[in-house]
Formats: sequence, C-alpha cells, structure tokens
Amino acid sequence: MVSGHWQKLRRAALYTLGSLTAVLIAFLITAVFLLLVGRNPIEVYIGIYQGAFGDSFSFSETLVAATPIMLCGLGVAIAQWLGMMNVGVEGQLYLGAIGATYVALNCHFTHSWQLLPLMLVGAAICGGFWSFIPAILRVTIGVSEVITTLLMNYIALLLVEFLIHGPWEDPNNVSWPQTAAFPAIAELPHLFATRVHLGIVFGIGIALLFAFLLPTTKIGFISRVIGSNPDAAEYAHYKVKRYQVWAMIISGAVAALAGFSQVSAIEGRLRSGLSPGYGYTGFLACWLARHNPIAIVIVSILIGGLLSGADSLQLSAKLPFATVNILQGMIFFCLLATEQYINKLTSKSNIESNTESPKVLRSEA
Amino acid sequence: MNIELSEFLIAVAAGMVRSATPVLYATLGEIITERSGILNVGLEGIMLVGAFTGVAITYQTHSVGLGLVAAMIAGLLLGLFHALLAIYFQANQVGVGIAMTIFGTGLSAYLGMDYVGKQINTLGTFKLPLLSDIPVIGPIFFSHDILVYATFILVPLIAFIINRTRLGLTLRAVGEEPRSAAAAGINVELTRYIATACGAALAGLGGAYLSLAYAQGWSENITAGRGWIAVGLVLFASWNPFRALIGAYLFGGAISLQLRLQAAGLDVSPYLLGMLPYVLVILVLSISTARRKNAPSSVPTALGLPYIPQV
Repeated sequence: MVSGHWQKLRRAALYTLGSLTAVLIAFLITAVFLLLVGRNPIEVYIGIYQGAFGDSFSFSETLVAATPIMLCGLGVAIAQWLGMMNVGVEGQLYLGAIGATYVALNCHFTHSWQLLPLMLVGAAICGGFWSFIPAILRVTIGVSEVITTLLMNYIALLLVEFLIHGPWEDPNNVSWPQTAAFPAIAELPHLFATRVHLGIVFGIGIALLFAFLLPTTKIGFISRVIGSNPDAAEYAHYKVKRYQVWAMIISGAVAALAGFSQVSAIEGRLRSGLSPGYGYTGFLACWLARHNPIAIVIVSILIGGLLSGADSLQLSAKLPFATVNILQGMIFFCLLATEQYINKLTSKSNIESNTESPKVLRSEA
Repeated sequence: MNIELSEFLIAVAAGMVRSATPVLYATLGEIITERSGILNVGLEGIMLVGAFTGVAITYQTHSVGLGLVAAMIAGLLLGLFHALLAIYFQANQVGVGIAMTIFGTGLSAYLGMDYVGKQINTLGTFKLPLLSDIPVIGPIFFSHDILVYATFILVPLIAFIINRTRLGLTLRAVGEEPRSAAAAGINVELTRYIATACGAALAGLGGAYLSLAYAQGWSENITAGRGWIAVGLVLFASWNPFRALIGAYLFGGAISLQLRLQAAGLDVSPYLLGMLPYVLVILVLSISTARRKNAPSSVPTALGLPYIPQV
C-alpha cells in the first residue's frame, strides 16, 4: 500500500506542478500583451498581488470574491464526476439569486433563522431546476448538455432583466433596474466584521463533504465508475442516467448557492450585474483543480485574489476588468496545452484521457 | 390579405435573412471544421474578436472591405491557434473552445473600449437589379448587402465541395477515418489545420457582419451567444450546409419577429421576447436529435478525437 500512497502523492504533485506551470506561462504571455498595449506588466502584477493579499482587508475581499467561484467550481465538478459538462453554472447562479429573492421579498418572517434557510431552499430548487432541463434532454434524447447549459445562461440573464424591469421592479425607485431592498433579516451573517460571509463556509463545507463521501460511500463509488467508464457502469446495471440527472441537479443547486449568498450577503437585492462571470471562472477553477473538491477551494481563493486584485486596479490604475478575462483565457489555454503531457507523466493511459472529451457533443444513440 | 399584415410579414422575413447571416457564416465554417474531425466550440470568442477587428480596421482605414478581410484574418489566426492546441498538444477540444470564449470576450472587450459608440463606415445595401423588383421575394431576399448574397452562393458551393470534389473527399476521409486517410497518403494534420483555419475565418467574417452591417458599430458582447447558437445549429444540420441554412433562418426568424413585434408596440417585455431565439434553438435541436435517434449517425467518426499517428 505504501507504493499506492506514493503514486497518489506523486500524481498530486505533478498535477500541482502542471497547473502552476500553466499559470506561470499564462502570466508571461499576458505580460507580453500588456507590454504591447503600453502597460508595465510588473507594475500590474504587483498591483494585483497587493490588491489581493497585501493586507488583511484585501485578503478579506479576496475571500469574498472566492466564495461564488468556489461554489460554482464545485457545481461544475459534481457534474463532471459523472461525465456531465455543466457550462451553465453562470445561469444557475442567477436562478439561485432569483429563487432567494422571491423568498426574501414574499415570505414575511420575524427571524433570520426562519427566512434564510427558506431562501437557501428556494435558490437550490431554482438552480437545480435550471440544470435539470439540460440533464434530462441529454439522457433521454441525447442533446449535448454543453450547448444547452450555455444557451440557458443567456435565457437566465434575460429572465433577471425581465424581473427587475417588470414584476419585481423596485416600487420606490423605478428608474434603476433592481428589486426592492431585502429586509434586514434576509442578510447572511458576516464573519470577522468583514464582508466575508457564511457563503464561504457553505463552499468549504460542501468541498469537505464530497471529499469525504466520494471515496468512502457506495454512491460515491458508483459515481466514480460512471464518470470514468459509463459503458462499464451500464453493464453493471447501475442506473447511469438517474445518477447523471441527479448530479446535474445537485450541481445546479450548489451553483445556485453562489447566487443566493451574493444577493443575500453582498447586494441585499437582485440586480443584473450580479456576477462578472463567476460561473465561467468557476469552470476554470474546477479544471485547474482537476475536479478535486479540496483543490477547488484553494484554487478559488487564488483566482478570487486575481479578481479582487484586478478590481482594485480598475480605479487606481485604470486597468480594464477585461484584462482578467484575457488572463483567465490564457491560463485555461496553457492548462489544456500541458494536460496531455502531465497525464503521460502520471502514467494515466493516453487513450483513456483522450476519449473523455468528444462524447460531449455526440448524441447518445 | 390585409396589406399591413403582408407588409409586416415581408419585413419580418427580410429581417430574418439579415439576422441569420452572421450565424450562418459561423455555422458553415464550423461544418467545414467538424467535417475534418476538429471540434471548435469557441466560435463565440472568435466571432467577438472578428466583430471587434472589423470595426477597428474599418475605423482606421475607412474601408469596410479591409475591415472584413481583417476580421477573417483574425478568425483564421485564432482557428490556427485552436488547431495547434487540438492537434499538436492534443488538448481537450471542448475545453479549448470554452477557453477561447473567455479569452475572446476579454480581448475584444479590452481592445474595443475605445471603439464603443464610434461612427464607422458600414456595409451598404445593394439592391440586386431586376431580382429585387420581384414582388415578395425581391424585398425578402434581394434587397440586402453583398455578404447576404454571398451566402446564397456559399451554401451550395460548400455542399458541392464537401460532397462532390476530391478536396471534400479528403476532408471527409480525415474526419471519418484519419488513419486510413493517412495510409492513402493524405496529410491528416495539415488538412485539419486548414479546415479549422477556414472555418474560424468564416466565423470571424460572421462576427464582422454583425458589427459592420447588422448592428453597425461595436459594443461589448455584441454576439450575445450567437457562437454557441452556431455550434448547436451544426448538430441540428447534421453537418449539411443546406440544413444549416434552414437552421440559421429559423434563428434569424425568431430574432426578426421579436424585434418587429417590439417595434410594433406589442405589450410584452422585450426581455421575455429576447428569450425566444435561444428557446427556439434548444427546441429544434432537441426535436431534430430525437427524430434522428434511430437513424444512422452522421457524426464525423473522428470528431473531437486527437489523431495519434501509428508509428
């Protein structure tokens, strides 16, 4: 067994090294881009670092940004473990925000402990419903969930716009597209007198839960079989489709918690600019972490730092926020480019890792 | 028939043809790419960069033609990059596409900041003589610009090339049986690089049509998911250019109808109407997939798989 542990450790080290190399190369390439547009990349990067981890306030803001990324990343991972690619976490985040908002504005309670759990449930149901649609289309008809989850992101955004311009418009301020402010009891508790809130506890809790459940339970075992070899799972009479649909529902519900905690703890109302693409960032975080729940927590905090650091430079150094997207895209490219090489090093068979990708767009006849 | 209603319908249909054009270019391009076995789902990012490049070059040179060419070159370069990652690095192609979308969104937003709301030359309307005078058909199909007319030729042309020429045979062989193709002396990798570059160039052109002819200016995220719509339409079309035309017109019809209804003062939230095209694409994709469930699959066999030459 000792060699087994070593093997695992070696793989983890190689994965970490691979992800770090990818990030490093991406930073270098983006530095060239910054030079080309007349920016000093060293200044920008130091600024981002200062804004992310420079002092305790910046670090708290990093954790605030990391929270929705973590929840979205975990959402992506849950679906991915069973071979479903959920690119719709951005939309599921917005649906979660809608569900939580509905409860916050319509259920009249006197205590937080009555309202908040109900908001959480409302968010999870809406988010779960949003990912259920692509899941059921995929397992019954064979429609690629990559495309449907993505298109539903656009529908979710329009739904939010419809609500805040229409039925849920703030009656006290019709000129500004947003809902009325939530009652004070709808605010998720904050930690350490900062903007950090309970959402991060949800994230870390869910990560730990899955890190524990996946290797130890029967459901976890079956899930891993389905994820690595759906044909074998079918042959073993596992209920592959049912598992996959539930994975997608849970995936959407977890992503919805990001929307719930954003409207409850940060915004205090529903508005359209709720997420600067946390869903897509979460997707990247999940891949950088190679779908490992604990690693997702760590990667999310690092990327959260990137986001909040760049956010602080937006005003002080007039650095457009789009820089973050360029950098994220670059990191993703570099990660994908090095993936095969790392897989070879971890002695994972070439064929196995290659056949994963294409099925996504194929109809399952 | 009521004159007002018939005018309304003609306007919707004419709008359909225009709204369909950007998506149609991207869809046709993706058909070429996927026929070679490469899956490029990053069309959204490529279209965005194309749309931006078109506006930027047109603004600098005052030439729409140069803007369009530049957009195609930008698309071509991104296509080559996609192919490099997919072929040389054997990367997960869906992953690359999503990365391309994030990257293209960021790049176009960054560089496009100075171009938001800028007045530019746009692709002018050119009514085809005689043809545009035909009642009903004329205003719907022949009162647009040259890039719309080009699709009328491009659709049958691409179908002809794929199905009836030696070039098309090479393309299909590479997408279906890369090893056999290689054994027959075809350069699999080169074919795939070229197909991906051509496909992405068309996506770039589609993006530029959006900014130079359709919306007539640059704005952030101008494509609003059209790249993903195109990826979906390729599946709907089962890699057939004529069916791609139908799919693009369905999508364009939904866009056009929604805009016309709003203009006509229909009392429905524009945001609800705006969902129509996306819902429609998901619906037609589902229906067509369900109907084909038991039919022989037309998916290029090697689609999305990395090619590992035998040594």
